[in-house]
Amino acid sequence: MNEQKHTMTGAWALNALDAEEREQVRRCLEEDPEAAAEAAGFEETAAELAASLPPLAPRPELKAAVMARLSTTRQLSPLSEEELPEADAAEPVATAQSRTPSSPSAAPSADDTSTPPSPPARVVSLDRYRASVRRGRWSAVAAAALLLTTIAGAGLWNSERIAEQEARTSLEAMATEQASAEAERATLSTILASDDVAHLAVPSQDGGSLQLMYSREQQAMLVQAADLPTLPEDEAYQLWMIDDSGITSAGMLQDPADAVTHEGEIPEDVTVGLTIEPAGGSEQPTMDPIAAGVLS
Amino acid sequence: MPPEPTPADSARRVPAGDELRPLRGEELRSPSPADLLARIALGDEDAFSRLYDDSAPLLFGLIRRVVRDVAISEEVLQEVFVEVWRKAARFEAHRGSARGWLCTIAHRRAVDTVRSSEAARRRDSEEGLLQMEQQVVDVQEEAIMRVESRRVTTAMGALTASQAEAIRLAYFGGYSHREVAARLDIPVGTAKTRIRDGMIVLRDRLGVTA
Repeated sequence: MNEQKHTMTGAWALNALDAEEREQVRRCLEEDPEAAAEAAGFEETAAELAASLPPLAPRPELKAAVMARLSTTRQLSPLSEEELPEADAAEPVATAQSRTPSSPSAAPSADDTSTPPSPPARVVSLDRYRASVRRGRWSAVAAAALLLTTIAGAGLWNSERIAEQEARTSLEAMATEQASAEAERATLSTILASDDVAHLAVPSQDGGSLQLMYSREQQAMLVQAADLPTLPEDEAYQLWMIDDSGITSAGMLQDPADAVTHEGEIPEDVTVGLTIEPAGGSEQPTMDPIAAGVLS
Repeated sequence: MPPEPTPADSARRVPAGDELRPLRGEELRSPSPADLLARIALGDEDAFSRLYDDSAPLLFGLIRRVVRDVAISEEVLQEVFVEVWRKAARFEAHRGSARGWLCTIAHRRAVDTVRSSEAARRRDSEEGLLQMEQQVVDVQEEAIMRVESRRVTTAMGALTASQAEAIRLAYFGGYSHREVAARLDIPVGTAKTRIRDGMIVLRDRLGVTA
């Protein structure tokens, strides 16, 4: 993409282009992986902006109306974006139409009827996959989900629904594997749903911060690190609970972007501290904390 | 109250019960939106129902912010979710997050809608009268929001005032970069550059990897 077009990635991700420019940039992005990666990163960034808005619960009737349309709305096969005919682009809602959500189905677009040739099963290295997934609460995607997508992509649209049973089987296996991870998430939901949920942001003197969310009542705490500098391989971040009775380790942040949970009593006025320790952790901190916050 | 530093006497790990455990999924709710999309692609209406419950408040908040008119926003929301149903198989987890995918669909439809003439007129007539009768979704959503807003507010603080204004107008206002340029009385090329430069700062501040 030439320099002039390249500057359009920001406007592209914010949907600030008119239809003609959008189409031009879309074609440019197909040919320029670097610009496409930048545009994708900007789209993720835009989603962060969206997530900063107050959520609004839509009227319950709307959900019923949408659900009622599913059975008559044909699902598209997994063609890649590049192969999409332009007819598939989002059309503005025709505001002149009646507001009742009763139109029997979305107008089938041209590509609904085209059967794709066997889509190749994509193999994406886990590292690359992980690198491409934004680290954040909503974005967490188990590798299993990718596996499932691949199975579905390879089998389902080849021979219609013959492979569906297989896919469902792997889905069940996946669910079992996820059960333990889900138990941990349940802890987090408990914190967030408790009446005494409290939040504390603790800046680190090396840059970045710790976000602490805890419930004394539920004896549970979440620590989410943000923007901590990456450490050399032989060092790691370690969390500590510090009070009059001494200093105890509260665990390692194996990855500076990890969120970690802590279960157990949270004493009054305990200090949560962060230090840099040799990889593997220390019995007691070897330095003054670079971040410390009191859970009052 | 900084603790007295003491030398590490070993690299032994602390007992399991006292240890912070990594959240493997980094995910608050389960199953994840990406997981749900994979199931929706197989025609799973229950998964769709869950995804709707999980993401409708986020997407409706975004749509309302851009579209403003409640009735039109409701219509856009429905079209967005029908599109999600239709295109679930096209979501590619290795290309980005499910939330990013959903927000892109919702934002694009919202923007396309406000640029159609009738909605634009309504929006203009309502500008300044906007009252978001925010319905608090639930405690969990609120707690997430507090952290999200803080992160974004902090990141926005790293932008120049003109970058932040250009991005707000484009993303939340639904204005094209030409309209942004006109409103800020700057050349179109400058508007594009400001938006991109600002997005680079936001992306880096928010730790987005893609």
